[in-house]
Amino acid sequence: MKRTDILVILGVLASGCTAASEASNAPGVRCIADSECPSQLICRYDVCVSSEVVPRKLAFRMVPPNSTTWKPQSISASTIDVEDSVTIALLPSIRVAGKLLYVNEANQVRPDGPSGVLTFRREGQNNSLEQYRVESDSRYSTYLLPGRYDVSFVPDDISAPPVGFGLREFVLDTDPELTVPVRSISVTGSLRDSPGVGRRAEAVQNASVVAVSRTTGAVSSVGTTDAEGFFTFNLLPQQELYDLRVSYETNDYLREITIFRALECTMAQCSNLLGDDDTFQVSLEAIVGDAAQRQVNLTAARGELVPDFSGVVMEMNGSMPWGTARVRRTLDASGSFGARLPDGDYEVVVSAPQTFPLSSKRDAISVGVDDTSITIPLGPKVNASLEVLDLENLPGIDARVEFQRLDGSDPIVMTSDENGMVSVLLEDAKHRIVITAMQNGVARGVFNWDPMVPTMTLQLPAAAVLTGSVLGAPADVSNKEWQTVEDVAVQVLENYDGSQVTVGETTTRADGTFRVIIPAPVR
Amino acid sequence: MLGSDTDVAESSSYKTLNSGQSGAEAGWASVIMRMARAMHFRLAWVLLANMILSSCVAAPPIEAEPPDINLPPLIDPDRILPSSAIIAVTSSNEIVLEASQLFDPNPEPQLFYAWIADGGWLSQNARVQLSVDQEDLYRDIYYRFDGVQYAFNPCNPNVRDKKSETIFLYVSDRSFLEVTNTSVTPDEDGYLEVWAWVFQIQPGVCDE
Repeated sequence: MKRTDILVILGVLASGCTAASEASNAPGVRCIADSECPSQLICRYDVCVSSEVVPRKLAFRMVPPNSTTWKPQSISASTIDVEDSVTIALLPSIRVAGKLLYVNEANQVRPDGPSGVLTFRREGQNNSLEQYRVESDSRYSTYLLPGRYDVSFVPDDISAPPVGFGLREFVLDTDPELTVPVRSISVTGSLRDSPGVGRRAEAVQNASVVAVSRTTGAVSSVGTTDAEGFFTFNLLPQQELYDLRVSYETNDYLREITIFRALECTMAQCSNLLGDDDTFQVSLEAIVGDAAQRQVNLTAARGELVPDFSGVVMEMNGSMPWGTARVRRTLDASGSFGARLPDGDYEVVVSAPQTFPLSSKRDAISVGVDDTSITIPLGPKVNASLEVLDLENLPGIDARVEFQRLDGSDPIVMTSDENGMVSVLLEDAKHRIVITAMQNGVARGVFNWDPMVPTMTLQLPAAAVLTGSVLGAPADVSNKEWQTVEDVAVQVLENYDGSQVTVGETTTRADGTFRVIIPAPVR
Repeated sequence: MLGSDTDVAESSSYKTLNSGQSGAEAGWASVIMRMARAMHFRLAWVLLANMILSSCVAAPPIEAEPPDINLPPLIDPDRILPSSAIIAVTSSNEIVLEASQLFDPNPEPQLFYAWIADGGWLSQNARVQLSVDQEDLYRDIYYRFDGVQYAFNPCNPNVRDKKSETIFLYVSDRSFLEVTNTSVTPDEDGYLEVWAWVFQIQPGVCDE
């Protein structure tokens, strides 16, 4: 055999094995030397990053494992030089433990009480929810970050009213006194309504009846009406003025009526403000008035094809001097339905599924005596067509592309195809686009989408690497030793047009250090 | 209703293990060696090269390596927020559901996830990337993947009149064949793991 033949064979073998070797590299390792990076980028921590150093305003969220006493916590935005390593301090938790005290009117404590769920919600923190299941021994024990918490207890017994303890401040390990009244006030009544205009009122069956405090929002247990329309609910003994909320399903739609100032309670009893009788008879027809039958029609704006409205949810929230009225209906193909709506000012909310061709809507309308037919036009959605490109103008394949409507409704998440393309029907409103998790890539990007410019090319920015460490503050102030904390999920957030977007995430190593890839600032 | 965290994960996962590699590669090696000794002309060497090349590209190396067996991903209860399986909703505030990291024993490039609501109003699916920083494996076994979040609004029109709602997080190491409003279907050689949060919604929370 000739020497050249052997070289050909070895070359072929080598190329095959080189490819296999490259494929075994850990994804995300993009470079070893600066020479492997596109121009104007340098290789740092195995990733091609921007050589430009620009101070950034970044916030952090740290999520330690549940098995530790450390709790998730955040650091608000501050200016950080990405070249420098950052040190993040974790606040130690405090222990809140004790026993629920079940007391009667004479302040006598009973040895045990109902089981249920004790909730601690940190003031101003939506995602700080600590719940503890209290069994019949009434004991609880949990760890919290120091701060103010809205504390409440929901008994398992559905006939017992929930208990709110208000805002409590916990700074050090503590055993707060949480007392639950043993006694509650029982309210019994009956509910009647007319099944249609001009028809005699009759008992309403299977309606939920709840009293809601006008000052604290505390609620009674839920009463459910029987075949004769009778209901019973229980309230905590306290000096309160209550609204009465009645909700029931009829003719496939939900109807909810809230009557302001229906019930006044003292520590001893409740009295009916809707009439002179003590039997608490509630006649919706008498309170709501002559709620006319109206036809509600959804339609397409002029020039658009009228689609099949199946699955679209429509809600009308009305405000009247005597209270509120709400109807909610999941529409059929016709997009129209009949409803008894009292005169008043309404907020109309139309929620359309993602594939529905017309936009969701939130609008205010006034419904008067003569409005027997209400027509609500919906505008078309906009077809957004996006091309995702990486820094080297190659298609961003398999990128996770999240479309966030700026009013906070549920985001739409799509994945780019093999050409880096994404096509989706979007509501006719401005959206933010957040791109993460691109195949074999480390870049993220945040963009704004305007329905006036539905077709866009989104080029991901260069990456930047941020390094740092997470240290846990000692729980004992006399102990000056700070400890490294491992396996803490670290999320880096940056402000875009007033809201924070997660631009990078990672986990601390055994020594508490971390490194995270974030997008470099776009010039 | 789901009894506990463990019940949720175990009852909903299933296995479709890849078949293990056979000993065929070792047999091929001896055949190739015998052929090489017997070959005395050029065409035979080209044939040999093609056979070795095809074994290098299409099959794992002949050297003794652990078989590439697919193992299921992990939704770790230690990384779940809120950590309670049953959550009493006592406020109209959004509740952020979160797996702050996902894990898999195999270095898959991506994991696939879907959020589904029991009420059929939520169907959101996407994928998460293998985290960039993999210097140490989680519990010495698992590769780390980015976390997933969903902000649950208990007063959204689909939920606010219900007494309870369940939201499921499905995670698979293969892409989903189908995701509907009520279920997910993973690829046949993928694993599916699930976590569920059960919300008990108190009356009046949406009146605030």
